Amino acid sequence: MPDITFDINGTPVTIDAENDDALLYLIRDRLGITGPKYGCGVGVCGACTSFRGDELVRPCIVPMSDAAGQSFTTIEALAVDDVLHPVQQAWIDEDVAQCGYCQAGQIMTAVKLLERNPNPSDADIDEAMSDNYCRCGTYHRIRKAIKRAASSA
Amino acid sequence: MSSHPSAVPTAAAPVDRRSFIGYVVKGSTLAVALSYGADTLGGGTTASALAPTRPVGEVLGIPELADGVDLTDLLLLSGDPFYYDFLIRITDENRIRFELPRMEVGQGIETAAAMIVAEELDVAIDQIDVSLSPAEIRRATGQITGGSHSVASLWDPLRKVTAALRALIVHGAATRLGVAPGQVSTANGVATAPDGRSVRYADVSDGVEGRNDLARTAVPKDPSTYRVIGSPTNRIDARDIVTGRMKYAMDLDVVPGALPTVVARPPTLGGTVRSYDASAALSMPGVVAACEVPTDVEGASSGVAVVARTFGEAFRGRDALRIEWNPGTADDLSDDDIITQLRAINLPTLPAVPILTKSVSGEFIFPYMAHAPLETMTAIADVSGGKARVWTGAKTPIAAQAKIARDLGMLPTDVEVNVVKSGGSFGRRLFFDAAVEAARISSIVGRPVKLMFTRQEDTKFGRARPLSIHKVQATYRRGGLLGGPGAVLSFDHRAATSALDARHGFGEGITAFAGEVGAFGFSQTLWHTTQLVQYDFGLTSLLLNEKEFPVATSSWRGIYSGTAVVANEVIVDELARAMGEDEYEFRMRTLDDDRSQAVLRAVAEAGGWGRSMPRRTAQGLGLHKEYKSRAAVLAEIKTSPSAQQDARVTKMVVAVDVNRVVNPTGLEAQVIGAATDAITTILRTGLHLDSGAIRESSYGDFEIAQMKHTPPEIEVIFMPTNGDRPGGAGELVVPAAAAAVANAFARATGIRPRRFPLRDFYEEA
Ligand code: FES
Ligand code: FES
Repeated sequence: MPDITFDINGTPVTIDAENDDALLYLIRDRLGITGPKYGCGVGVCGACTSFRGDELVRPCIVPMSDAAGQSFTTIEALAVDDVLHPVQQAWIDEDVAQCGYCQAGQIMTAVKLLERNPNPSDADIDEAMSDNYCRCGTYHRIRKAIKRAASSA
Repeated sequence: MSSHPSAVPTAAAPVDRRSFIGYVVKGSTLAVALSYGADTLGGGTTASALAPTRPVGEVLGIPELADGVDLTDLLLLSGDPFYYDFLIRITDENRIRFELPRMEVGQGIETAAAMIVAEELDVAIDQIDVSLSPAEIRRATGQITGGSHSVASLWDPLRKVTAALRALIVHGAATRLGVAPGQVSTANGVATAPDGRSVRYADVSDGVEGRNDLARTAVPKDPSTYRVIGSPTNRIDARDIVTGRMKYAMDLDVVPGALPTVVARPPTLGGTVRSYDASAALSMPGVVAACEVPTDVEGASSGVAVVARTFGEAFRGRDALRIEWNPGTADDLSDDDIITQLRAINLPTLPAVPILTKSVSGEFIFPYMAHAPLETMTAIADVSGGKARVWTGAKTPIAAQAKIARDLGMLPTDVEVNVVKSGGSFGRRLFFDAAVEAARISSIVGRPVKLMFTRQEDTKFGRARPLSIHKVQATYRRGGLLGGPGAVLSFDHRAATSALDARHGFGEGITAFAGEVGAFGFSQTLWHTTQLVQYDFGLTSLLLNEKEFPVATSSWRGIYSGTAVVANEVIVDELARAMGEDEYEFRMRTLDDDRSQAVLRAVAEAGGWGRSMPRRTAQGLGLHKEYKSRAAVLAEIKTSPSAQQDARVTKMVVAVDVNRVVNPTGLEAQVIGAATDAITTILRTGLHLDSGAIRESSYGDFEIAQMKHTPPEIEVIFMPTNGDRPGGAGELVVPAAAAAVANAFARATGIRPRRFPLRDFYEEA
């Protein structure tokens, strides 16, 4: 099994893994980074959404061969020194979460939406957020929280 | 925060007739386990307020029972003797530790319960640490989360018990401060004398030992003084959620060495392993064990479990298994077979109508529906040394404990079931399949395991809302030429459903009355305690028949109403149109319930019922009464000429009357979530059974509502408080919203909604 090196939440990691192992299970089951959730394992639900460099990525479909040398950020590293990211704060202020299971992925996706588009319309939100499923139906408050974060920026 | 002088009970205060036991543990902290004995049923103040005037058994024989005694009554009555069992502890740091004997699945029950504690104890909500209680056998039917009765069932017991605790604190503080108890005021966990000297709750354990009299006579606060209950309060775990710190079962590190585990399941429902070869799997990196295991969802089914270092490795090991399967139990069944068989057992509607009356009727078909919580079924199990320890999201943990014990040949007391917050339930977690399977696997492989259903398994082998057909027929006489409104003469509903497995969540509660309802049966009891027609429709009769099929079921955010009420409300719309009346006016005219009229009026006014709308768009109404609550929904929909593929609900106005709102923020979230479910079930998706296999496998084909399907505009209206005890809310809005969406679709397209999800049955509709 090859050793594969990558960065996660600012820390370099070297781990023995198969090239086609999916990143999600390595970081959850061996590194104990459990913020990204398993919801489907096939890149559909968005519960595991994290960043690779500056981009959104779904670790459940990132093979370790593609992870090598890259740096990843999960929900755990979004707040810096316990200071919440404005999107996290907006999520609290709008009381978005119900079961919460999808919310790490929702927040990560919203952060990138707002970086690209600081003032998204309803249609922009539909487009950017629709591939993050929430079974509890928190979409309405997600929409409000995105608008709140946009106006607070 | 303002301070509140304490209400000191006097000798004249009523003594609860149940035997009250208070344990006050002396020491550096005041730890109180308060409990009422179960010596009376229906004798205490709580139960007597609910108790039907006639014996339950007698009442249960009567159709449309829901008018008198509904399921909420049955659940509360059966649990009442056990509801008073809480553990509340004041720590050295002056924090309140509260163990909640309910399950949090996102419905916000922890926050609502913390609000009640904060209110009665005069502490700030952030001074309270809530945890979920493990299974405690002594609670019997008092530790079940389901049927939208959590807040209602906590309401009296939790207020009384915390009021008792506060009485003890006030007396302890009075002794300590050398003043009379009536002079002590309390706020933020501190008791203060008139001269300003104060003492923390944590420091008042002296002088109250054995003072059960104080606890027994304590009186909860007058609702007019509430400062926490009824005010918008955010979730107490919001920060943990947004920072990724919240731990769900698979995130826990409670048992060192508990390894990821998955189960290879048969190609069709009810299939079993004939033989298997795990040698290739066991040689894969990370794989540590494999074993055959009886699975739990289907009863007689089995699969092969693979235990590995990571889930990724477990999946790879599973894929390397070579398994020969025996056929399943449903291999000759597809949806159409089930529908045919259900039609055959559906009871006939009332016979032909007299001349001069007209009728409106329809047959409605609702598919099997996965619960599809975002977190699949999961459990950690460690079976060793004659004991079992399990961590799982169980809404019926005592039943889980009993089953695991039976399974492993242990005493229930040797099985510890720890309840973990979970990623959604919607009725799915009334069953605890993953916990049972995890315990079996752990005992077979001799090591702790973390079992997770994959999304695919959860969809294909999970439980489902039963497939059901509903024949609804109403007869009416049109308004006469001589004036006077028309009248509905009869309203018949005949439902035939794939049998609902209601053993857990409702079964336990109803079994508590086994002597009385045994012959009548679970399903009939559930049907008759939840279904009613709230319109003055002459002769009404609602009957259920059901048939067992080898497809596992569980109630789905409600029991029968999510389907039956939709069928009724669609026919109500069609009746109104047939009689030449406006759908709203017709309902208002025929409703015989003030609270329902009020919620309906509220949505009609706020939503501008009847406003002129562009082509292919329309409004629709839906109404529902259950759980001692009322809901009305006005939905607006936009459809396109290319059929309903693009139908979008553009706006929803929802009004609910739940007697008393504990947390408006939490209730609004439940309302909006339930309204979203209506979009999923009416417009978007359902399961298909093809020769014994469920066709769908993930959200890619089990297409629940996404952001782009939900209305940008949602207005939620709460009716003014009109009763003491909060009614149920979690499931309340599903039927009304589903009906409103179906009715809006019908009004926009002219198509009569008959088979769901509508987008699959456009041609047939
Ligand atoms: S688990 Fe990665 S997208 Fe669903
Ligand atoms: S909050 Fe439960 S799935 Fe989104």
